[in-house]
Amino acid sequence: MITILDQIRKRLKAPGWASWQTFISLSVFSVIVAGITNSPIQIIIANLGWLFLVIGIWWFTYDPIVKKKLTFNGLFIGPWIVGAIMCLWLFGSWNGAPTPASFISWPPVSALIWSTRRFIKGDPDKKTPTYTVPKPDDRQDIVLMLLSNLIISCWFQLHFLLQDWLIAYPTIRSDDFSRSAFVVELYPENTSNTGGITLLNAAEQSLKTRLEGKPWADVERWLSPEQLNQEIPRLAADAQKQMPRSSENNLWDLRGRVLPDSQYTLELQAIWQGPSARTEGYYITKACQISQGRKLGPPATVDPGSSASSPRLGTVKCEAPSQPRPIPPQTQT
Amino acid sequence: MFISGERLSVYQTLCANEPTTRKIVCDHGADLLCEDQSDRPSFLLIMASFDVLPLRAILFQLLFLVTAIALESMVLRNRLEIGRKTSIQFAATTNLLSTVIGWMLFFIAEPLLSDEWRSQLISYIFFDLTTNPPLLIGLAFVSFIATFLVKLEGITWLELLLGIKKDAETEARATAKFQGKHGRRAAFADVPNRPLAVLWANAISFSAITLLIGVRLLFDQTLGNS
Repeated sequence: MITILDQIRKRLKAPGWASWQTFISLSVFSVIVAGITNSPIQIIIANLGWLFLVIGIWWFTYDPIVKKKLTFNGLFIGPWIVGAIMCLWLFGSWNGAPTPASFISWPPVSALIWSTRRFIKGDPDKKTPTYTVPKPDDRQDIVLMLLSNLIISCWFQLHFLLQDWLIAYPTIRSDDFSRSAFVVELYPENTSNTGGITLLNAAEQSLKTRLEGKPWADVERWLSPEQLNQEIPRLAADAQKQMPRSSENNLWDLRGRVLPDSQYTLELQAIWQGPSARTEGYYITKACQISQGRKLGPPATVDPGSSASSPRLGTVKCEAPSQPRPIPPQTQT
Repeated sequence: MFISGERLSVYQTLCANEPTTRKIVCDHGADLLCEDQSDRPSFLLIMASFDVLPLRAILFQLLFLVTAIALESMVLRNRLEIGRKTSIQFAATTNLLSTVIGWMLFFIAEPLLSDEWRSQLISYIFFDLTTNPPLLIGLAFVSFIATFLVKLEGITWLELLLGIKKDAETEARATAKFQGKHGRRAAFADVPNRPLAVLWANAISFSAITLLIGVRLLFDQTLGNS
C-alpha cells in the first residue's frame, strides 16, 4: 500500500518547471480560482484552465513511457485523446458534456494534432525545435490520415442528421427499418405510434366538447352525411391546434365516417401521408360510440306544464386506437 | 446554438409529457436536458440517440472503399507503369478525397431540399423504397463523371504535393510522339496516358460497386421471399 502511494507521489512530483505536471497543477489551480470568482473573470480563468489541461495532457501523452503504452499496432493514439479534450473544451457544453459539434470536430482536430509532430525538426545547433516542411513520405501520411479522419467525422455527422430527422418526424420511428441499407435498429421493440394516437385523442376531446351534453336532435343533425362532410375538417383543424408543434403535423390527415348499420358509431381515421415502410401507406382508427343519455343531477323546479321526460342528450364514448392498417386500394371519399 | 428548431420544439414536448420533469434547462451551446425533481439529467434524451445507428452505411462504405482502392491500384499500376506502393497511395488518396467531397456536397445540399424531396430521401434511407428510379440512375451517372474528374485532378495535385518529378524517359517518349516525320513515332498506345488510365480505373471500381449492390439486393430479396 505504501509502495503504491510512493510510486504515485514520485510520478506526480514535478521534476522541473518545464514538465507536464506543472501544467496539470496550473489547470487544477485555475479551476479552483474560477470557482471562487464570478463572471466575466470566471470565464477567462476557466478557459485558461482548459488550455492548461490540454497542454498538460499533450505533454503527458508524448512522454516516452506513456507513448509506448499508448501505441497499438504502430498507431499512437495520443493525439485522439488530446483531440477529445480539446474538442470538449472548444465545442462542449458548460459542464463539459459533449455536443454533436464536439463529436464531429474530434477526428479532424486529432488528425491535425497527429501531424504537428511532422512539422517540427530538432535543430542540433540551437537546441530548440524549429518549423520545417515535412518530408514527402510524411506528407502522404498526413494527407491519408486527414482524409480518413474526415470520413469518420462525416459518419458522425450522418448519425446526428438521422437523429434530427427521427426527432422531426417521430412517427417514422414506429415503423420497420429492417430493409434499410443504411441504418440498424438496436432495440426493435414496437414503439407506439405517438403521432397518430395524439391526433386521435385530441380529436376525441374536440368531439366531446361538440357533442357531449347537446340535445339529441342537434347531435343527429351533426352526424348526418351532409353536415359531417363540413364538420370533420373543422374538427380536424381543432385537433391539429392542440397537437404539439412538429413538422410532421401536416402529414397526418383526419377523416371520419359513420359506420353503416349503427346508431351511431363514428370512426375517426388518422391517415399517415409521409414516408413509411408500407408502400401503400397506413391509417389508424378510433371508434366512438355516440348514443343518447339522460341528464343527471337534481331536477329543476317542478313546472306542471313541462313534459314528463327529461331532455335526451348526446354522450360520446371512444375506444382505444387501433393498430395501423394498410390503406385499401380504392380511394376513400 | 447547434440545435435545429424542430429539435427544440420536440424536446419541449418530450419534457412537458414526462411526469417528473419540471422545466427545460438550456445549457451553453449544448443540447437541452430534461431535469427531474432531483436535478439529475434524465437519460430519456441521451439514450434516445443510440438506438438507430448508421452501422450498415459505415460497413458498406468501408467495403466499397477497400474494393475500389484494391482494383484501382491494380489498374493504375498496369497502365501508368508505376510501382505498387505509389499506385496504392494514388488510389487511396483519390478515393478518400472523392468520398469526402461527396459527403460534403450531401451535407450542404440536404438543408436546401424541399419537403417533398426530403421525404423521398427519408423513405430511401430508412425503408429502401424509391419512387423515382430515373433520378437514382441520373445521380449515379453524374457521380461517375464527377468522381472521374476529382480523381484526375487529385492525382495531379498529389504529385505536386509529393514533389514527384516526371520520369525522364516518359517525357522523351511523349515529345517523340509529336516529332512527326523526323522523330521515331512511338505508338499512341505505348505512351502512358493518364486520363485514360484514370477513366478505366474509375469504370472498373464503379462496376465492382454496382455488382456488390446488385448482389446485396438479390440476397435481400431471396431472404425476404423465403
